Parts: sequence; structure tokens; C-alpha cells
Amino acid sequence: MSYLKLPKTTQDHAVGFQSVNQAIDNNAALLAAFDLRHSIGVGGNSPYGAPTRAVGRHDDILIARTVVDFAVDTSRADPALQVITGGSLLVGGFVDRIAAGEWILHLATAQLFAAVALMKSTASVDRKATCYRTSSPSTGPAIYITTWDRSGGSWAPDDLPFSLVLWTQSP
Amino acid sequence: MPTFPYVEQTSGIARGAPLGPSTINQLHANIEALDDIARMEHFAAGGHNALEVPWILGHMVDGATPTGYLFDTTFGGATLARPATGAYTVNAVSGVVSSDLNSNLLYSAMANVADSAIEAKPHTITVEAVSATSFKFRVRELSSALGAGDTWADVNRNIDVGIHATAQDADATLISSYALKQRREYLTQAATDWNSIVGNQGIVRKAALVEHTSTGAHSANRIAKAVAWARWTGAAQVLDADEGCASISRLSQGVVEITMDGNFSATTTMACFPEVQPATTSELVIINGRGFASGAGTSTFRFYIYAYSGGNWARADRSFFAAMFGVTA
Repeated sequence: MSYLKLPKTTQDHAVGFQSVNQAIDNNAALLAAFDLRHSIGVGGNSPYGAPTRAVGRHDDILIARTVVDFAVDTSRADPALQVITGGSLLVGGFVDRIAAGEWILHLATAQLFAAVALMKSTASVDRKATCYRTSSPSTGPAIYITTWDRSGGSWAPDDLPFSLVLWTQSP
Repeated sequence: MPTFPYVEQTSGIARGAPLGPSTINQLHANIEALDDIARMEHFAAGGHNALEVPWILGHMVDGATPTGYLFDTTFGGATLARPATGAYTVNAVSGVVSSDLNSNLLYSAMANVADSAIEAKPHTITVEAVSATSFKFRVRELSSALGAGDTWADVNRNIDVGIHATAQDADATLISSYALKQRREYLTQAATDWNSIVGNQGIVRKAALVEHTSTGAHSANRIAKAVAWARWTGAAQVLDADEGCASISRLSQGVVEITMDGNFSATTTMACFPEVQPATTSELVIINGRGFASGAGTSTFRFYIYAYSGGNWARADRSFFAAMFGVTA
């Protein structure tokens, strides 16, 4: 199915069935091109499946599945991660705090690939986040995030904000 | 979130077959649907407009005034500065911020220390949103020798950065209106008739080609050229899953090289964003990586992995993920 630029018509140039057919082919070619790396919904080749990717959303292993910006709610005795912004991957998923600086992100997709985490800081400090991906039949895919801090003189987990870029793969 | 009509392909029309209004109307509807699909995560003119595609991405070369290679000139033009040792700011141009990054900025970022110094020491990097238009990255380096302590200091290094932000509202469409056909109406040369089919197809295709190839692959340099999940088997590094990679090899303990499949230009700056899998959930590990062109058609990224144990740092073999960016060959 190829795209072919069609001439516009004038009164002296009638539109025949060939032009109409090419216009149909052009639409099909454009749709096929979008389908390669975007979700077109039912009938498309989305590896993620239409239910979890709205029509028009990207559907490309080379593009992150979502990015999430986390803050720590320190107003509570038991700090919680707040999702400042996030995409569809966390819909149906949730975050648990295991211990100080240790979080587990339960995700709603079965195609977890990896996460790239970056610590946030307003000063020059020693911080590092680590990501441990796992998958459990009972809980589904998950990422353990540990947010490390060295302010006490040695590295230890602490409740700290970070940003996360999540990637998924085709099945 | 808008919903879109599904695009149905109309059957080909044979010579002598009737060409009724439904065919022409379906052609118009299909183009409109294609345009709606495109504008979900792209601007009407074609550039990407999605949270998941970095607005600014590039490689920054250290200096009193850092020089940067920011991928994709559409969102380039940001100014760079080094206000203190190991601190680098990316100040987005006002036009980019107001129109693209969103004044109520909600962001996420990736960063990686990509200097030759990572071959000898682990480095950390943190990010701060100074304002809706300015981001500061800070680099720290282990100042102790490997295996001899855990002292850290600010340090000047080359870095890779990627900044994500919420998408803008969908653009208004650029395609023109058309006139639906009724029974017994004929195609004419009116702008809202057959010519709008031709013109609107051209508009949709032109926009698609801004950051995609004609077959639909992404051609924007802010989109990764390759991703890889490299798994340490205990004896070797293997590519468990990847796209855009040709091979992987373990050069020595904690040093791994991934060669691209030719999709990169070998003469331009590249950027990567790796993340290492700890051996356990309670292990502290660091990975840094850098890309370099090693000859025509041969582009590689080399990764250095360090693990912390007993108050010291040492090279270690671990599984890791990396997203790799560069200019199309």
C-alpha cells in the first residue's frame, strides 16, 4: 500500500475511479504508517493491546511507557509517595512504602521492561536511587525503588523525592 | 480524552462501479480520523507533543560555559551554564517554555554522567527544577580510590540530560472543512470537495513526515534509537531484549560494550540513560555510560558498573537497562 500524491482537479480534469482508488490507498497507507508505532485501536498491531493504550498514543519500545514525578509527603508519620504526575502505566497500579526509603511500585501492565530513576535535590548532596524489577504471579510486575542518602556519613535508605521513567517491551 | 472513530478502509472501486456519496464521505471521515490520531500526541504541524517524549534531550560538554549538543533543533536553543563546580543549568528558551514545556511544569528527567572519568570512578547526578524554565543538574564523584573508602566531591563532567514535561492541549486541526455528499450530488472542483480530500491527505502526510519516516518509524532524535536489557548470566552479558542493538560484549568486570546496528551516525554526539539492576533490593549500585563513534558505521556505548559493599566501591557485573539516543545515520 503506497502513498501517491494526487493532483488537484479542475473543471477540465475529471476524477475517475483510479483517483478515488488511490485516495483510498493513500488513507490506508497513512493508517498503516501510524499503526507501526502508535495505537490505532481495534484492528491495530499494538503489542500493548487497545484497552491499555488509547487511540493515538505512542506504542513504541523506543519511547518510554510513562514518566512519573514523585514527591514524599512528610506530613504523615508514615511518609507516602505522592505521584505528582504520571501516565497510564500506574492506572490500576499502586505504590507501597516498605520501610524508610524503600518503595514498591506495583504496575498494571505485564510488559515491564525497566525503570530509570533520578534523585531530586536542591543542594549538592550524595543521593542515588536504585531500581530492582521483579515479577510475581500473585502481585504482577513490580519495581522496588530504594532512595539512598549519604548525609549521615554512610549510605542508607531515606524517604526522598525522585523522578522515574518507565519503559516497557513488546511481548 | 477524546475518542476517535475507527478508520475503515473502503473497498477499491472498479471501473464501471457506482461511485456513490458514501465512498466520498468515508474518504473524508477517514482523513479526519487520521488527523485526530496524529494530533493525540503530536502537534498539528507534526512535532511530538507527549509526556513520554523528552522536550529537551542532549549531551552537554563541560566547560566554564558548557557547550551542548541538544538533539532536534525544534526544541533546541536552550542555554547552558556552569554556576558552580559540578553544577549545570539548562535554561530553556522562553518560546519553548511558554508553548511547549507548560508554565505549570510537571516534569521528570533522566541524566547520566558521560565522561571518560566514569571509567575509573562511579558518579552520581541529581536534578532540581529551579523554575519552570530552568533545570539544574549536579554531579558528584567518588573521590576515594576504588576499594579504599567512600568520600565524594563535586566534580565537572560531561553529562547527558533529558527533560520530560506534560503535554500541551491538542492543537486545532490544519485540515480544511469539506462538504458531505448527498445522493445525486457530484464531485466538483470546489475547495471543500474532491480537492479537500487531496489537500487534507497532503497535510496529514506532511505533518507525519516531520518526525517519522514514510513507513511510520520515528525519526526524531529525542526518541531513542535503541534500547536494551542486558542480562548478566553469571558468566557473560547477553541481550535479553533489545531494539537497535547489534551485539554486546563484556570487556572486563563491570565494563560492558553495546554496539549499535548501524542506525546511528558515527560522527555525532550520542547520549544514553542506563539503570542497573542490583543483585538484591538492598544493594547500592551505580552505572554510568557514554557513547562514542568508533569509525564509520560503528557506534558503541560503553557502560561501567560499580557496587558498594563494606564501605568501599568496586567494579561489578550486573544486569542493566539502557536507552540510547543519537542522530540518525
